Amino acid sequence: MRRADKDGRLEVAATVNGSERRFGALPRTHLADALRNELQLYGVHIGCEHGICGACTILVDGLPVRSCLMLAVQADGKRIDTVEGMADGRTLSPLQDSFHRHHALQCGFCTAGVLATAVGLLRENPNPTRQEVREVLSGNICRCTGYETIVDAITDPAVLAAFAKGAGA
Amino acid sequence: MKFPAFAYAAPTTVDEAVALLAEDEDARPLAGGQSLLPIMALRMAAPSLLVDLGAIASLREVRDGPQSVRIGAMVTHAANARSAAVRDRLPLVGDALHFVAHQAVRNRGTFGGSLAHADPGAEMPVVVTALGGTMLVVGAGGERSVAPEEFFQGLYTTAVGQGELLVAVDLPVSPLRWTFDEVARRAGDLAMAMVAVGVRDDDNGCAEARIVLGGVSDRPCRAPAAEAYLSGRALTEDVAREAGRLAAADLDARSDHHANAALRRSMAAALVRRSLLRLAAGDPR
Amino acid sequence: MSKSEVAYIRPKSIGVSVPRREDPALLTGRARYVADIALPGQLHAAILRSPIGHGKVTRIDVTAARALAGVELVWTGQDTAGRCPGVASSLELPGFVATVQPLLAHDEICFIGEAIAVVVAESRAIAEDALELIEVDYEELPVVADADTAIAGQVLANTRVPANMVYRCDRVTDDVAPAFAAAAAVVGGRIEVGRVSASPIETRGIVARHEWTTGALTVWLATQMPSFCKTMMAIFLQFPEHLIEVITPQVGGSFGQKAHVHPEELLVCLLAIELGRPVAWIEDRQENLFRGTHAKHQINDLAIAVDGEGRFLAFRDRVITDGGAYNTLPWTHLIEGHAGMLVITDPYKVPAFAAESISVATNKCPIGSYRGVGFTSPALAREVLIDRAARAVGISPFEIRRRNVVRSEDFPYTSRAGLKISEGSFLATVDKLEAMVGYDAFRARQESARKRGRYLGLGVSIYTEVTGVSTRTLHYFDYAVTSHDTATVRVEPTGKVSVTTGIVSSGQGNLTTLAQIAADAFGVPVEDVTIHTGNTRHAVGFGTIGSRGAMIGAGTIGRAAEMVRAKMRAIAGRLLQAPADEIEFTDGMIHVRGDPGRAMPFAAVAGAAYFAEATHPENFDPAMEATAAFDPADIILANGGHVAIVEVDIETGMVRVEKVFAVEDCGRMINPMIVEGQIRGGVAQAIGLALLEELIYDENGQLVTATLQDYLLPTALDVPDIEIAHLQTPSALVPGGIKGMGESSMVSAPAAVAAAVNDALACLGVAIEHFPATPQRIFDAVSGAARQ
Repeated sequence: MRRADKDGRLEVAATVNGSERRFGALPRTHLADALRNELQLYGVHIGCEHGICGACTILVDGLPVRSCLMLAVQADGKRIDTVEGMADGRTLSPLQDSFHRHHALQCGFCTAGVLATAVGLLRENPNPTRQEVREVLSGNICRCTGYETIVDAITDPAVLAAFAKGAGA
Repeated sequence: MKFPAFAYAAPTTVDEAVALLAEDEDARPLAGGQSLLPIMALRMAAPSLLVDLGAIASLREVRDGPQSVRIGAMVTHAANARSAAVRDRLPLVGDALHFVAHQAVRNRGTFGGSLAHADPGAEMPVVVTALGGTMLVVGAGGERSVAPEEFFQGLYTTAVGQGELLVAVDLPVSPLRWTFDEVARRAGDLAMAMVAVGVRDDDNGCAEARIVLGGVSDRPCRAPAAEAYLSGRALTEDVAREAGRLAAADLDARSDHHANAALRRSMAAALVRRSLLRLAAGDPR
Repeated sequence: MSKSEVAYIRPKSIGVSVPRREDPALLTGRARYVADIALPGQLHAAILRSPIGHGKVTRIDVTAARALAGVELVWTGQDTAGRCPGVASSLELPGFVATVQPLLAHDEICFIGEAIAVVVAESRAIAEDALELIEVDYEELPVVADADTAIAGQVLANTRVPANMVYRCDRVTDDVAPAFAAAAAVVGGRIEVGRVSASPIETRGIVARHEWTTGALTVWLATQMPSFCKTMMAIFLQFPEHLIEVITPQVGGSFGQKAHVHPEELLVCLLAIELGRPVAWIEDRQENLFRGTHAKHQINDLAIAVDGEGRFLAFRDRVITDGGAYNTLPWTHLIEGHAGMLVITDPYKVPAFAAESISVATNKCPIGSYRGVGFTSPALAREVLIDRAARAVGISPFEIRRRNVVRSEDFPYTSRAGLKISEGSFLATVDKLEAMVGYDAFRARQESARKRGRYLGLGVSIYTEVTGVSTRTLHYFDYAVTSHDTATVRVEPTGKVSVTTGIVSSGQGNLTTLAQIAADAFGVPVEDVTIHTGNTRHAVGFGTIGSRGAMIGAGTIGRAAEMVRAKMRAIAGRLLQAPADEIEFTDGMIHVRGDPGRAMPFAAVAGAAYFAEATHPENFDPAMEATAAFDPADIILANGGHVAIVEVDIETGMVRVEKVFAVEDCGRMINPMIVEGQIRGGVAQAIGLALLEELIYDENGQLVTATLQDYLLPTALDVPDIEIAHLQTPSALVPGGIKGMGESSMVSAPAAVAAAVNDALACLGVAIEHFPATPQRIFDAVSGAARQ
């Protein structure tokens, strides 16, 4: 049984953005803090830290998850994907590029979480209606854009084509 | 808003989990964490030990039986929605899941966690009450079955005792046609009012109706007067309106800063009426 | 040369939706916000905040907190009082009551969430643990929970504010009684816009580092006003200003909330100085809701007198600002109701106007700036009542506005409050909106929906927006403050252009739009321009506030560029054998006017300035760099309007926004894509303000809505697609004809949504006057009517 007392660190071994990573974590540390402080993945942003705003959304085993509502020790053995792993080298992914073209971000603070949510949606449904996009997007608060251009970006033909081929983000 | 410090254990069997919970009265089971962890972030709860149920494989099973479907406590909302057994045989669960929080929360949040948390604004307690489910609770003395009416005891309060664990729920396959609807300030928010309405049709209209309201009081509640009224009546606009009125009149509605009791009753009446009319039109969505 | 000189810029890149150069870093997680600053030895601060609304600390014991492993320092108000008295905010106005908000309360606590103690520890988690170990005894005092109690003056919210009266002013005092007596109709109401929070998704935050060997204080700060913060740190901390450097990293939204000097910012600097180690304070979301400054809370008791044709005869307004326990710096309570009173009639012709503004202290978080500050609430009150007046005289909401807006033949029109309107497209806005909406078809649809028990409503709002906050603007609103900004423009030896500006960005895209401006100033491709920003070492300015980034950027860059262009003209004139004043800059070339063949590359002239003395005129100063200030000559008004269509469910009280239309006239657009982004984002916030967002205090001064589960920010399902049309009336006062526009949707769209709700309910004979229009308020109004 994995077990630790309050001050005991557990080792976490996870596949993070395609690489095997190991780090220690106290039970109390949430995954967002561990990714930021232990792995320097500062693209994971903390907006509310109580599970409402969606800024810290990442992919765990391919599914969007609030990283502030998951313990770091629970990431052991999981596949973790953050915004840092989304681009192909120095080329933006089709989804990232679409956000750029559609002006689907302003301050950028919510963007990583929005991208993770969009990936989760498009992998399950590569041809969503605007309403379906809005429904899934409703768990991510964006204070800048008014959402419309985010919906435009996610439903852009180039993005849908990439996900239909399984070559999305 | 960092969690207060706690010890952590991830047992692999229910027996281990129950033993851990029995050892320490400040221990809490950790299911999906989507309700407990925010409360801890706000430092409104500070358990000494979190017993993570995530490593207990048996709790993640959905088992299709002849008369019922058994849903393990650690089945996530997302897994529930994808489950063929749930989709085909318990369509009410799928309808209600549509209203549960948001995608990322449904990917971690669990069926059992939602029931054990017993937030009056949550959907799953209404669903299990509507379907007449049986809660399976395990403690040191073994397993016991608890009916929803006994299980939900008020705001964040259930029949699960210290050292006990909700492990699964048996949901009988219902002969009724069901629909689910709710009013929340925003999509995904806890509901101010919600309703599950089921009817069994015969040639004269509604042979039997079952109405369970949630969000309006501190636990899911039946609407017996409305149910009795509907029996043997055709689902016309007027009948639906009267059923809504009767359902609301029965309510011991609560007030908060989102909606007072009078508004919750109005919402309940409207939800019941509209749900009945959707069922009458053959369009449960 | 005058600081308000308008440099010539030939638009080429201006007007194009250039994709933002900010995006790649933001989209890949490579951008660094203040919470991402991790310095060697960095410590983390957490703040103990008052759980009571009003009272005194009678005992505070930090022994256990200090003893906790990992804790480096615990301070209470006793520790900070001697080092810094607090954030003093005052205005030189007769009768204005200045306040000093201590960094940590050491005597009186005036609102829930006020800071009482601070812990610095190895981690934020340990610091929060230590907060729980601090023992405090409080003596509770009576709470002033609303503006009426404050005005009554029997109970004090802050014992240093006599009778709770921060400021009272009746600057406009026409005798409106005859107009009201002669009116065909009078409409009036007590229209309250509740408290909201700007709620940027990135909360506030600061990292400070003091290096004792050099004396340098380096501050990473999520702010809109880095230069102002630097100067205030110097003054309030008595720290040498030349040793302070404020760095603005990527900022995750601000919307006015980060346009203050907050007490925590001074506190963290003191902690870093004390400890000699870097200290970070990253506000958490609850703190942000308790203390991140609140906004918009005004009660306008407004009446409008109209004649039989719906023409305005007079306005009478008494506006109360429920301003919270202290004045914010620099805005004070005046930023809401007092400023609002001075624009409440615009852009309409109102022959007679009487107004009084009252700003009172209450046991709440101080009121501060948030997008459209001052304007949102009066615009909402005015537009809702204008619709009511239209119904009273039986004309359409578009027609009543057509009959009353300032028209071009009226320019320059001076409002009774003294605002001069010399340009704008108010009438065209009304016509455009009406055409976009399809008004008659809507009324038919509304009628048929009503028969099916569904309640649709349409609301119209027309606005002026005072943009590009400047000295003239500040003076108009009774702030005796001078503001100007600078930019430095350098042409590099290879012909590339480096611009340094004090305009910072929190999502507005200034790195892109200012590059477009600089590119057109030199006739070079936008790729050849770099914008440097975010460091007070290199530029000064009042900040990115009040829809001023683009305008002030254009003004400063335009003037500085002109100084460098003059030198390049001198060289090119010699080489091309033409008078310097006939030299022009186009498409990367420098040529003789009217003779594109007599030309040489821009880069060649730049190179000549650096490396070829033989090309220099006599006494030539080869510095290819200039710094210039800008402060526009007058107040600059953008304008436009919104229409919202909503459906109200009268049984549940829920409102769905079906569609929003926007017309925007911000002069010449630099980047239409970014303009539309600002409009859409503002409309989302407007829907939040009108329908969802409210910071609710109970009668004991407790904040009921202290999480994002209760403070309801609009989601993707609450905001519809928005149809936008543009008018472009260039400003004569800014290079390129640019006007500001960042706040416009939050000035006007809340009014459109509010008016739409009331339009839906008008057939029931009820109206909502307290916003947001929550299910409860709608239900109460409708059920109240049903009972009568």
